[in-house]
Amino acid sequence: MLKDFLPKALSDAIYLKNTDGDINEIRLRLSCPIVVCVNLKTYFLSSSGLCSNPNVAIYATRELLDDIVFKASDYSMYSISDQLKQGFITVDGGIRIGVCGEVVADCGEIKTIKNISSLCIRVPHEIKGASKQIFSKLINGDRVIYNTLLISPAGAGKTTMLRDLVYQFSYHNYPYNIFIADERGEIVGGNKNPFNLGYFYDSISFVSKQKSMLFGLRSMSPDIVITDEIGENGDAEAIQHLITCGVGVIASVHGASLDDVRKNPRLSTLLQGKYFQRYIVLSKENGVGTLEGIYREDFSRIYGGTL
Amino acid sequence: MKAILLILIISMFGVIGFGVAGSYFERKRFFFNLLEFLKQTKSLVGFSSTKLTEILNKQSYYGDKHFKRLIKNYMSVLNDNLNISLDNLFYDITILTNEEKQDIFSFFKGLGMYDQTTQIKQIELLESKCKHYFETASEDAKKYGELYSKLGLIVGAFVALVVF
Repeated sequence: MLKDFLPKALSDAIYLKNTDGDINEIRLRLSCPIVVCVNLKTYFLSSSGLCSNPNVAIYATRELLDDIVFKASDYSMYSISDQLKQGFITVDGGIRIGVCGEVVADCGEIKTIKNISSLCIRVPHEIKGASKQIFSKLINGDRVIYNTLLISPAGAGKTTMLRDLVYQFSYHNYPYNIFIADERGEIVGGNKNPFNLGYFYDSISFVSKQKSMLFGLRSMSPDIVITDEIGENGDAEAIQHLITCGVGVIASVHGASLDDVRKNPRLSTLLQGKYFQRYIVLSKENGVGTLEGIYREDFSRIYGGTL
Repeated sequence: MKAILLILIISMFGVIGFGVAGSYFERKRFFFNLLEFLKQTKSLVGFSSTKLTEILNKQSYYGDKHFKRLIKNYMSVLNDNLNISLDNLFYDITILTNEEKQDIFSFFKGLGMYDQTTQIKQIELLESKCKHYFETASEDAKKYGELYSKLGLIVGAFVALVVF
């Protein structure tokens, strides 16, 4: 997947001692050594593979950054301009490339990013059984699911967990119609190389979660809606609407603890109104996807540590 | 025996005439196909932001040999990560003038590098130039194409008369 848009010299160096599955992210900063994060450990990238010496590392140039973005767009920058305005591109296979540079704005509205100075390439993972520990806790005895909010800091496995939850419904033969509001195209992984998410899901990508959740409600009559990284304006209202319409919601949000999320003003209505019945907190404590705790709607603990 | 030789001489000059005329017809077909490609690309980029590789993959199956060659050359440039140049873009294409090559080259050099609005403007710019080239090529095909075809047969007949 990385080979599709990384220059050959770079992908050869990365794959010299690694496989796609081990890499968490690659960071390229203009005039700085390229950094590769493998199994949460950070290395520099040299022409002979990963190393810890920045002096022998490959340095990111302007041409390299531009070339990666152009290739990642499939030689079609016009097709990613809406994504670029939000600061990222999603490549087929669910790889998200965060982009930094000089913003070109018109009347306060972001038009594009030029003179790209940094790229953060996040490699997604498909881990079958990643959500095994929590799946049973989301199901009520009579096959009704609890509305659930997954909480974790960046890179702790929220999206991998959501992806596997969708698969687990199929695997355990729960024939729910699942609708995935996949704003960044990361959960499903694109059209060419989609992840195996089972048989019962529909998805819409590259549109705001608020719009896609309501779109899904109108068009696909879902039993469950799954979405990633809520917290923007309108997300809470859309989720409230879904839940009051009888649709189950499993969502994720950035945060290190339940306490963090309780302080988030954009989610206060959802939390105070007890729209979510289960809160699941993940961390990187013992590796990506460490289950820290499961909590009820009144924030009392079912499993794990303190708030 | 004489009749066979007569037919052979006329046919030979006829084929030479059609060969010379052929390049005029090829130019006309090339610009027709290029115009169609630009129209289709404009609507696909404008309506659904279809990726360039998808558009090019579809196009590589249609059109005359020179147009197909152009698309193939451009795709090789992309796939092999080469710097686009007049030489690699127009490799094995001999029917275009330098001015025409330069216009097409400028277009392909920037293809896919702009936002939607700018990309459509670039397509329209080449489209307007290509319309002019197509009209000229059509006139030339009508004028010189037919002339050389007929001339071949006439010269053939004349040579046959002189010989026999």
